Amino acid sequence: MIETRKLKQEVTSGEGALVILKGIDMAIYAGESVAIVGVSGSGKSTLLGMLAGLDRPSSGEVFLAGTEITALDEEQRALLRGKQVGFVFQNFQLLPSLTALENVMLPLEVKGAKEPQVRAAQWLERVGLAGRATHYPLQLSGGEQQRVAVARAFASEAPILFADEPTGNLDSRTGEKVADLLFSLNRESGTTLVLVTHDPKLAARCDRQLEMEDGTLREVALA
Amino acid sequence: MTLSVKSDALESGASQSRSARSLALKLLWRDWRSGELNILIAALMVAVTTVTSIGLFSDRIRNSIQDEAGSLLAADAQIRSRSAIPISAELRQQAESAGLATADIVTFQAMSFGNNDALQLSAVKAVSPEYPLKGELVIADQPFGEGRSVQTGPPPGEAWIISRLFLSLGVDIGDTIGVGDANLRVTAALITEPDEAGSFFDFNPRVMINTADVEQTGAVQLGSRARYRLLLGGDVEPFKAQVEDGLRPEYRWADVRDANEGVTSALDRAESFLLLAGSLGVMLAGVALALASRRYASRQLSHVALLKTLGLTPNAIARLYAGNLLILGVITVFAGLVVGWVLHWAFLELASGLLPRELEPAGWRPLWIGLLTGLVCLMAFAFPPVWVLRQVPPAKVLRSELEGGTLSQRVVVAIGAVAVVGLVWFYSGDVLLTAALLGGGLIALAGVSLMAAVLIRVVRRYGSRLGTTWRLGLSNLQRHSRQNAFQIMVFSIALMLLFILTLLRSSLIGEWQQQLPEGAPNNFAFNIFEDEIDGFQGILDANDVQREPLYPMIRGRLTEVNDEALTDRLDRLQPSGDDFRRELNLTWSDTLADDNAVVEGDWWEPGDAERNLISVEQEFAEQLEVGLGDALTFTIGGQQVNVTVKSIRSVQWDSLAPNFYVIFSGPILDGAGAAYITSFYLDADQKPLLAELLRQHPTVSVIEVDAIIRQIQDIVGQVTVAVEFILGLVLVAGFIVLLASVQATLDVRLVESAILRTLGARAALVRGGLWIEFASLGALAGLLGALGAELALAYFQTEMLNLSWTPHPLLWVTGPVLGGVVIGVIGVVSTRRVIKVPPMVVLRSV
Repeated sequence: MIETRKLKQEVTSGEGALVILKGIDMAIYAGESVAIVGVSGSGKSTLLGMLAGLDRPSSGEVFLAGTEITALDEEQRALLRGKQVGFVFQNFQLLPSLTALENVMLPLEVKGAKEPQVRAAQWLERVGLAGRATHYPLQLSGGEQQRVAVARAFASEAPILFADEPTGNLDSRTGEKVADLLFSLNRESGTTLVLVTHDPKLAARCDRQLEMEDGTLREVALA
Repeated sequence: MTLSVKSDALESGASQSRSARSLALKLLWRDWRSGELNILIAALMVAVTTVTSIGLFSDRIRNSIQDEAGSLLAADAQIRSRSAIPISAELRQQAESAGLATADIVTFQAMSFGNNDALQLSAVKAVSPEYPLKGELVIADQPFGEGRSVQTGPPPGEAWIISRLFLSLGVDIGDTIGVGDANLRVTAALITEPDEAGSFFDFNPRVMINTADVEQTGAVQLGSRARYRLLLGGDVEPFKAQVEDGLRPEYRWADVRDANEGVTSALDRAESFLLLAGSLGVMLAGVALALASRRYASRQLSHVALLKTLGLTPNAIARLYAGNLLILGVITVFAGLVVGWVLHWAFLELASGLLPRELEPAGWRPLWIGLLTGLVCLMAFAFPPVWVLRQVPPAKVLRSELEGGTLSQRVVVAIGAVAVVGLVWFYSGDVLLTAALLGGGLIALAGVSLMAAVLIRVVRRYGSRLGTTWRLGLSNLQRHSRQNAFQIMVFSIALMLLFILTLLRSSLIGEWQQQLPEGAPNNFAFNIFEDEIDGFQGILDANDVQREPLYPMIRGRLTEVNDEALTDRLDRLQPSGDDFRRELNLTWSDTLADDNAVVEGDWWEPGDAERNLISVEQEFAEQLEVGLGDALTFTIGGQQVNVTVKSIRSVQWDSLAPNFYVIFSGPILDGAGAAYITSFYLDADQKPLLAELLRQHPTVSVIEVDAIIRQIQDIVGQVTVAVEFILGLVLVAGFIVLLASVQATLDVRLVESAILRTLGARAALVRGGLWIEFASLGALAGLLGALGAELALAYFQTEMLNLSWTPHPLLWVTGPVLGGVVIGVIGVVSTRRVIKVPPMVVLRSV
C-alpha cells in the first residue's frame, strides 16, 4: 500500500546540511496498522509527511496506493490525498469558524461527495457526538475535538489513515478513549493505519512498530 | 498506473471545484460573521467612498462654478473679433451644426440724445434675441428701482439704459431717445448684465438695444470701432478642439477660464487640494487594506494547510480564496459607491444653508473612478497576500514553523507603491504631482523607519527608570522593535497625512476668505477729473464709506518693445491671453498697493519720478517677454513716451481694488488729460448714495460689481464646504489605518499579555504596560508625523499652492500628544479582551 525507496531528506541551515532521513526503504501493506515510534526530533513527523505526500523528499521515491507520488506535482498530490488519505493530528486542526458537523463535512465537500451532511452526521453519531453537531470547536473539550477530527478522518472513506500523535494533547484517560475509537473504527473500515507516537502503550496496539533513530528506520521485533 | 491516476485526478478536479464553491461561500460567510473581515471591508469601503464622494462633490461644484462662471460670459464660450470684423457666417453655421446655441453681441460707441438737447457718448451693446445664453439680465421699471430678471434683451425699437443715464439725458421711462440716427423708446432701466465684468472699463454709460436696430443707428460703418462677439452655449469643448487652431487671427476664443481669473485660480487650488486629499485618503485606505488582508491571510495559513491535506489542490485554494475576495470586494465596492453617493447627498443636504443654490448634477465619471479605485485597491492591496496562500506547504499541519505562502514586506510595499502611483497619476493626469507624492512617500518611508528604530532604543534606555509598569511597556516596545518600527512608520504616515490636510485646509480657507473680506469694494468709479476729486471724496468720506485711494488713469497704447514693433513681437510670441495691442489703462503712483508685490527688481527710489521708469505686471511681462531694463515705447495722447522697466509686480486681480498692468514712476505727460479711478464699498442701506453721487458728478462713471463679488463668495463658500467634507472622509480613512495596524500585531500582544497573566501579573500591570507601549508608539509616531508634515507643508505651500511658508509650532506639541492618546486608546480598547477573559481562553483561541 505504501512503499519507499532510498527516501532521503536533507535541509540546509546556517551550519551546513542536516540529514533528517538517511535513505529509508520500507513497505506497509493494505489493512495493516503500523506505529512509527522514536524520540522527539528523530524525524517521525517528517517521515509521515513524506508518506502522506504532504512534503517532497530530497531524493528517493514514495509509492502510495500504487502511484509514485514523488513524481506528481502538488496539484496532483492534493487530488490523490483527497481520494486515498485521511488524517488525525496532534492539535486536532479543526477550522474554528465551522461547527463540528461542518468540520466533518469538509473532506466530503472537497471530494464533491453526495449528501455530505447526512454522511457527516452519521460519522458524528459513531464517535458519540451527535448532540454536539452545531457546536464550534472552541465550545468543545480537547477529547471531543479529537473525536470530531477522527470522525472527519473516517468520513472521507480513504483507504489509508495517517495519525500524528493523536493522543499527544490529551490526558491519559481521554487519550485512551480516543485511541479505542480510532482502532475500533479502523478495524470496522479495514483501513491501513499509520500512526506516529512516542506513547509505547498506543504503539503496542498496532500490528507492527517501526522505530526512527538518527534518520534510519528499523522494525521493532514484537514479543 | 501513474497515467490513469492523472486522468482520474482531472475528473475529480472538476467535481472538486463545484463543491468547493459552496464550501468557499460558507467559509466567507463565517469569516464575515466572526468579524474577521471587518477591517478589510471597512478599508475598501472607505477607499471607494472617499473617491466617489470627492468625485461627485467636486464634479457638482465644478459644474456649478462653470455654470456660474459661464454667466460671466453670458455663454459657455465666446468667439471675439479683435477688430471691427463681424464674425463670419460660416463659423456660426459650424457652431450651430455642432449643436451649440448661438447669440450675437455688437458693441460700439454712439452719441445718445435726450430731452432738452442733453447728449452723452454712450457704450451701445446690441444683442440678438437669444441673448443671454447663460446668466441673468436684470432690469427695473424705474431708474435705481427694484430689479427683475428677464430672459431676452430689448425688442427692436426699444432701448434699455442704465439708471444714471436717465439723469444725464433727462429722460424717463417711456420717453424716446436718439441713439446715433435711430430713435428708440426707453422701456426699462438696465440694472445688471451677466457679462458686465468684460466691460469694466467701458467708460461710457450703457445703452442696450436689439441687433436689428444697429444699422439704423448709422454708427457702425466700415472703419468704425465696433466689436463683435459670437456667444456659444452647450458643450463647447469639442467645438473648441475643432476650430481653435484654424481660427482667423482676428478672432479669439474666450471661455470660462478667461472669464474671471480670481475665480479660476481659487478653483484650481481647490481642485489640487481635493485631489491631494482624495489621493491621500486612498493611500491610507490602501495601507489599511494591505494590513488587514495580510492579517487575514496569515490567520488562514494553518487552515489552508489543513484544506490541502484534505485534498484541496493549490489551484482550488487559489480559486477559493481569490473567489471569496472577489465576491466580497465587488459587493463592498458597490456598497462603497452607494455609500459615497448617499454621503455626498446627505452632506449637501446638511450644508444646504451654506450653499447659495441647488448645485448642478454630477456626471457618471465619479462613479467610474470610484469603481476603478475599488478594483485597483482590491487587486493591489488585498489580493497579493491571499493569492500566495496557494503556496502554503501542506506539511505545515505537522510542523507549524514551516514557512511559505506569505509575501515579504518589500514585495507588498512595491505592489502598493505601483498602485498608488498609478492611481494618483490617473486622478490628476499630473506627472509632477505624482512624482512629488512618490518621492515624498519614499523619503518619508526611509526616514521614518530609520528614526523609529533610533527612537525606540532611546526611549527604552531612559524610560525604564520609571518603574515596573513602564519597564514592562517599554521592553515590549523594544522586543518587537522591527515590527514596532514598521508600525510607527504606518502610524506616523497616517498622522502626517492628517496633519498636512488639516493645516492645508486652514491656510487655504483662511486665504480665500481673506481675499474677499467683508467690505471688499463693490463699486468702481472712474472718469473723475482733477477738479472733482475733492467733491467726490467729500461725499464718500462724509458718509463713512470705505474707499481705496484714487489713482490717476490715462489710456495709451504700447507700440514698441526694445525697438521692435509690438505687432511684430506679438506675431512672433503669439501670447495666449490678452491682446496687448488694445488701449491700456496706465497710471502712476509713488506707493505700492497692498495687493501688489514686487517679484523682480526694486520699487521706486527717491528721484525715480523724473526718470521715466515703469513697473509691469508679471503676466504682462511673461507674455511679452519683457524683463528688467527693457525699453518700452507707449503712444499716449498722440505723443511717444519712452520708458524703462524697473520692476515686475505680482497683482492680486481678485482684490477688486483698481489695478494696472503698467505703473509709471511719475506723472505721465505731466498729468495732462488724466482722469482718476477708485473703488469703494457701499452696503445695501447706502445704495441710494449712488444716485446722489451721480447727480452731483454726472460725468463720473460708476460700475456696481456686487454680482461678481457674490459669485466669488459663493464659490469660496462651496469650496470650503467641500474641503471640510473631504477632510472628514480622510480622517475616517486614517482612523481605519490605525485600527488595522493595531489589529495586525494584536495576536502577539494578546498571547504575551495572557502569559504574563498566567505568571500572576495583576490586571493593572498588564493594562498599564499595554497603555505605555501603545501610547509611546503613538507619541513617537506623532512626533515623526509632525516633522514630516512640517516638511511636506513647506513644499506644498511654496511650490504647489503658491502660498507663503509659515511654521506650525503648535503641531510639535499636538502631534505627539494626539498620537499618544489616539493610538493608546485604540490599542488598549482592542486588547481589553486579555484582561477580561481568562488567559487560557486567549491562549487557546489565538
